[in-house]
Amino acid sequence: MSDFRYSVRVQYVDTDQGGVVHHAAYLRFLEGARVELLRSRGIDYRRFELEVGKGLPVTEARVRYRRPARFDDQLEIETWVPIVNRAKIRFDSRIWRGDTLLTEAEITCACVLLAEGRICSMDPSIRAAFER
Amino acid sequence: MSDEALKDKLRGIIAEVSEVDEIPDETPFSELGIDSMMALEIVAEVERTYQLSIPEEELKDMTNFTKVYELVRGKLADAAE
Repeated sequence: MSDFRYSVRVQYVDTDQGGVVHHAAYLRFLEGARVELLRSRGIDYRRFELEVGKGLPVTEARVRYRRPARFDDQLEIETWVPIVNRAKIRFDSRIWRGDTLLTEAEITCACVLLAEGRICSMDPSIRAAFER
Repeated sequence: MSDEALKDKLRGIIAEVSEVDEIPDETPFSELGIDSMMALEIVAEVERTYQLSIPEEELKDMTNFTKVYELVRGKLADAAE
C-alpha cells in the first residue's frame, strides 16, 4: 500500500435516482486518483500522451461496492501500485468516507502506442516510477 | 534443463496466463484466444522465470508455441555460453 491519497467531494451529478453515487461514477473518481498518483511520481499523464505518444488504457476493472456514498460526501481515495511489469500496471484503491471503507478496486492498464493503436511493452518511465 | 522440461515449463506458463488448457505446437496464439496483452504477459513471465530479456522487435515473432520455445531455447543457449 501507499501513503498516496486523493480527495474528491461527491457532486450532485455523481448520484443516481436512488440518491447514492452511481456505480460508474466511482470509475471516474478512480481515474482521477490514478492520474494524480502518476503525477506524484513525476509522470504528467497529458505530457506522457503528447510527448511519449503512449497511453494507459484500462483493460480490466474490478470494483467491490461495500457501502454507498452520497451527495456532498468527502471521499478519500487511497491508491497504490502492487504490480507493474512489461505487460501491465495495476492500481489498487480503497475509497474511504472518514473511517468507513466504501469501495475497493483493482484497475489494470496496458500500454499502447497511440498513433498505431496497438499494445506495446510498458513504457520504461512508468516502470521506473513504481519499481523504485 | 532438457528440451522436454523446457517445453513443459513454457506450456505451463502459457496455459496459466492464457487460461487455455491445451497449447498445440503450431496453432497460432490468435486462434487460441491469446490476445496481444496476454502475449505480453507471457513474455513478462518467461523473462522473469528464466532471467531473460526479449527485445520488443522479437515479440512479433512469438506467434505460436514452437516459435516461443525456439526463441527461449536460443536465448538460454546464448546465456549459457
